[in-house]
Amino acid sequence: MANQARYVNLIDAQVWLLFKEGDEEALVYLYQRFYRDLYSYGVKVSGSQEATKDGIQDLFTELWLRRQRVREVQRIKPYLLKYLRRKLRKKMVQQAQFSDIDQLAEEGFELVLSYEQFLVEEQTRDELTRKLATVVQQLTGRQREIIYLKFYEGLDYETIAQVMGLQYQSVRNLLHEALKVLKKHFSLLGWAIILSAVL
Amino acid sequence: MEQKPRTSDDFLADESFQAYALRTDPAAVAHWENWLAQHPEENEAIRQAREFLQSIHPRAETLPESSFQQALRQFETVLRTNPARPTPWWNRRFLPAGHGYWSRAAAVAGLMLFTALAYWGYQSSRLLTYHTNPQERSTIILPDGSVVYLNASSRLKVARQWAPQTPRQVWLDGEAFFDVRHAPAIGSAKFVVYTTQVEVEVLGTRFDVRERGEQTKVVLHSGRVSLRTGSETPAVVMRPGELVEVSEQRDLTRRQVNPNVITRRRVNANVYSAWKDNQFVFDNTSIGEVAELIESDFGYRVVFADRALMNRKLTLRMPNRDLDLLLKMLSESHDLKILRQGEQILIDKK
Repeated sequence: MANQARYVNLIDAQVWLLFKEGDEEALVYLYQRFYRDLYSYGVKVSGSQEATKDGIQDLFTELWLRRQRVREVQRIKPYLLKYLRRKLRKKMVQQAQFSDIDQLAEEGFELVLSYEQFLVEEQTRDELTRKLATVVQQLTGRQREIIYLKFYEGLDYETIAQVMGLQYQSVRNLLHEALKVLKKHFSLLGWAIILSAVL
Repeated sequence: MEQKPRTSDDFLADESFQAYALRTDPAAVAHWENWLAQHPEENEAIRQAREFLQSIHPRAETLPESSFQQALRQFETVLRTNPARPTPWWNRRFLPAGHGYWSRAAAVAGLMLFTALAYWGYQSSRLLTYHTNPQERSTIILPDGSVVYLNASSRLKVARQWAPQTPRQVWLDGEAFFDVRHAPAIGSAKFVVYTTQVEVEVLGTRFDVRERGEQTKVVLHSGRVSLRTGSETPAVVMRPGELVEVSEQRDLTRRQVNPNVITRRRVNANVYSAWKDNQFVFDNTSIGEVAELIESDFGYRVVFADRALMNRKLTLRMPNRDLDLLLKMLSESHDLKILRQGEQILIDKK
């Protein structure tokens, strides 16, 4: 599949139109461009690498087979993230890993934050990452997911609301609450870092 | 943005402030630097909020390049088996619609449609056959993206085109390892492997099927499969790490042929699929079984001077399938004399 370069300068809506008209290379280009982001997000949503790989494969296969009926899209990445999320969660509920959608919202997102920016010894960093993990566990699945979409994917509230099927204001409130919790512990952990650097 | 947040917490959820802290939007950066110049008393709160936001790093899942490439290849196979049809010529608008043109066009279109359908029906009913020679292996990606590793001297038949909502079926002669896609976009969830003796039915899983001579072995790595030897017999449901062996045994005393003797046991599943990674893995495996493998995969005949030797056990792992090295290690670990003559390997005590 050569010549992927010709899609790079097109805007999302144009690439999408080419794909809808049956341009296989346009879809392969989207596959290559978004696979890793979809994979990372999917594993966090589903907790399973295999389910995620299957989900992405099914997603692109379905897009291809139903390309004439797929709607037009202005921004492709949020569309794909949302599509994958819906697919994975449906399967998780079917497989009864979670009794219902509410429990999923509480527990269903795996977020790992790290302290990479601090110049501390490896041991201290591991210790801090472990502590941070326990703090992260206090957040709900929804809050963890918003943090991921905001700080890893760099999406704005509007888009996060679309991907997760929430209201703009709830996204903002949930994130605000989550950040306050994290920041409280961050300042405590911040002291721990300074202390361990001194000791 | 002109409201005055008092503590650093109040800045956190402001998108414009986030864009400033994370330096993702120059306009936001300019705005907040300007704001800060006018509100020096907020300096400390701003600094704290900014540093905190900058310290949040969600970790991404990393994916090995090889996994990505494999996924991409599978997807390209899906595309190849479902090519885009060019816009049909009767839908194109460049032809002038002259008098009597449409009736002729319709007749031609009808004929072409009939031919196309007939051809499609013929194509999809046909089977594609893959086969391997002794010492050869191959990897086959099925239309649904499932992967089949075909071992030496084996044959796999697959329908040329897979219809939606019908079971995925393959026919095997020899040995293959299946990595079956769960709930595929093409075909129904059911995936069936047929050998002359057994029928293995699968729902998204990894397993090895080996049919050699009058014996079929199925080893399950993960997931679930059910296995049956005929339409009347009950299915055997296998668990991961299990081996089920079906062999034809003639019971001479009762003078009847009892074709389906089924035994099951727990095994180290990796032993039975090492061939697909081009390795030798033996875990307390009898030398008789090792010999069987050498016969089927390398095309030699292995002869034991003393049949008792066949029951000795071997545990070993070799990163590549070097037959010479294997024989050497076998001879040294068990004090054996191993002679290779043409197509034959003779094993004897020293």
